[in-house]
Amino acid sequence: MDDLHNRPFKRSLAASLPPEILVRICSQLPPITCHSLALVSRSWNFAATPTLYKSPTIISETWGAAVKAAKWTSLRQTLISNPELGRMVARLDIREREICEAFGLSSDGSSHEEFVAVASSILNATPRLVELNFDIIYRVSLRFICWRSAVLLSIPETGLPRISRFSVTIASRRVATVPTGSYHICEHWERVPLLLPSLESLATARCDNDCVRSMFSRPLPKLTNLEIVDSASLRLNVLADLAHMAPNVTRLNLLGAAYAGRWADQKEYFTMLEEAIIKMFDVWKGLKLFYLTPSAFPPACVEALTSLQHIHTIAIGAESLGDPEIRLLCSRPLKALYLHRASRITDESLKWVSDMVSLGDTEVLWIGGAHQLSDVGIESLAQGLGKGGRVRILCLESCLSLTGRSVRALVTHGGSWLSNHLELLDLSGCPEIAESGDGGTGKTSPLADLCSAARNLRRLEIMVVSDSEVAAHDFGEIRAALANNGGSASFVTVEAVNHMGLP
Amino acid sequence: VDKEVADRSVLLKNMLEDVGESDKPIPLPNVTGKVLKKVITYCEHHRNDPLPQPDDDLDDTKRRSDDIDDWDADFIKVDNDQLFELILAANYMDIKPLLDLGCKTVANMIKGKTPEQIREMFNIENDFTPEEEEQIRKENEYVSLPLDDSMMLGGIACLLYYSLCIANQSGCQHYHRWASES
Repeated sequence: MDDLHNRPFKRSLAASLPPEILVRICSQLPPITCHSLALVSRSWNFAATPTLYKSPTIISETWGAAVKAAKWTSLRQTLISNPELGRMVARLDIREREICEAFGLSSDGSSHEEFVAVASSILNATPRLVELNFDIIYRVSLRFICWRSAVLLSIPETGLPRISRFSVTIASRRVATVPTGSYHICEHWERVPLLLPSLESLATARCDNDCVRSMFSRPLPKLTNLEIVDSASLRLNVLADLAHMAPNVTRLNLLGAAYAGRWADQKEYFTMLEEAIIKMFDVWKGLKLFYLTPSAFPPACVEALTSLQHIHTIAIGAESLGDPEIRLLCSRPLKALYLHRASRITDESLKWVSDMVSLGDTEVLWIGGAHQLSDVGIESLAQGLGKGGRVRILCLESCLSLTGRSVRALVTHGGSWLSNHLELLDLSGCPEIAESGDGGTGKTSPLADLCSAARNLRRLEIMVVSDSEVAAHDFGEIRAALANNGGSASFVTVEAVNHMGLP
Repeated sequence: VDKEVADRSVLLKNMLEDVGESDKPIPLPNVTGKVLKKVITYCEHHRNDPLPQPDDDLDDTKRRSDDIDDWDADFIKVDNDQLFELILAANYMDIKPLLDLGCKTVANMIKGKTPEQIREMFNIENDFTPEEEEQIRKENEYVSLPLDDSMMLGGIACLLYYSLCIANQSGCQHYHRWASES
């Protein structure tokens, strides 16, 4: 085919392709090739340049500091000197560490103002930005981003009105090393609605109550995606009181927020949680996605949750939920259901789950820590999956009582679901499962059978807790089965908690 | 042609809806018979595929040029002339999956090529002045800068080692193994 296509042809049809087709071709190409295309001819330049500048990213772990510095310097220079190109930029990732490296600034936080000067000069040169992602080193940076950028660097009071997506990652993996209490993330968060009035998506971490109050000090009418994660001290009643400031939120991610451990009086905590959730759902009736873990979701709120008309993805701490609540949750077809610490649910619940998955809408089913579940429940689930299930991700982690019989049930009843749809199976924390084979006495282990049958399985998580030869043999069989799996062995990983040095 | 097949083309679908049930031929002035035959083959093969959603065009993340299935890859093994004619026909007849297939194929042909190679491959005239070309190169320098100083050093080291191997008349195999490992 290459030879066929590489032959030059007589007429220049390529030179006369309409711009919309050239743009479509360019959108399939990496920046370096778009750069080549931009140099081919005027018409190709016209098509390739917007693609080149739509999202100019300078992110690569493999590039050295000198290369990054040269690239950032060059990009900034171009954007400042050619406003036409600056106006094409729609999305930017600004990483403080990289910028500091690129411009020879200290990355310990002391060169913060210089960093902000550089970042803001880039922002000023890109007036049509719609998505801005900051990865900043220290919490204190937010003060500069939201405050200094407006005041010192002449961003007008109207802010960046086109920005619709704004996310801040704060030293994603280093934040723990910052002394708590030294910095105030909430400082000047009230600038957010002022600077970014068109915000549609706001993702933050480690917010406290004051931060949330500041964030919603003015209306954010376009906000649909709100993520406030890792914010254990956040009180949901504070958020609920301010829900009306962003009435159009449809995706609410509160992973790690409002953690019970921070409350002295647990009874008071649950009362607050109940009231807050009901109040939030009353305003945010259009919620499609709701995450609140590991906080235990109050049973009294399940009805309100399931009565949300558009809800399709739910992730909740399920330690207070029993079978009746699971029945209620499964009364509507959900795209994804995550139940963490589901310690109270029994096999009875899996009948309802089974009915739900058999409808074919559910793609993710995550039931963790369900100690009371037995193989009987999984058999019932397997039958539902086999009837028309399309679950891609199935997690039964830390369901301690499950054995190889559960796996065998998935193989026996899974049918076309198992062979066509299952991509990830998490059985970590189920110690009885990995050792359920017979150690090579003739019968293969159920997991090996499952891996052979599940043609699209990309990831299997299991737990190997023994150094016995039986376990070693079974583990070897599983690996072999995965390796033979439709030629996709290279994508398959087995992550085992391998205490005894098994292969 | 079955209506189900014709409906793969948004242009034909709309026209058929406008004229209603009729045996009259529908003129397609911008498509040659040979190309139309090829287009029909494509539509017949994909007659049961879900129709593309209007939002599909907006989602850049779905755009990948390496997800062409075997039948499509075989179908699109045509010469450059016909490839561009197919793209133009798909664009005119509004058959998005075929248009995507054609564009992905062209994108795959272009990948990794220099501007000169692209011009030569598609017989495109360079209509830039040298000054304009220089300005574009300079503006887009952030993309085209060398990959990495460590890689450059590695490259230099490879060259030096290769020279030494040639000098020793015996080291080429070592060089190849060393280069592939590094």
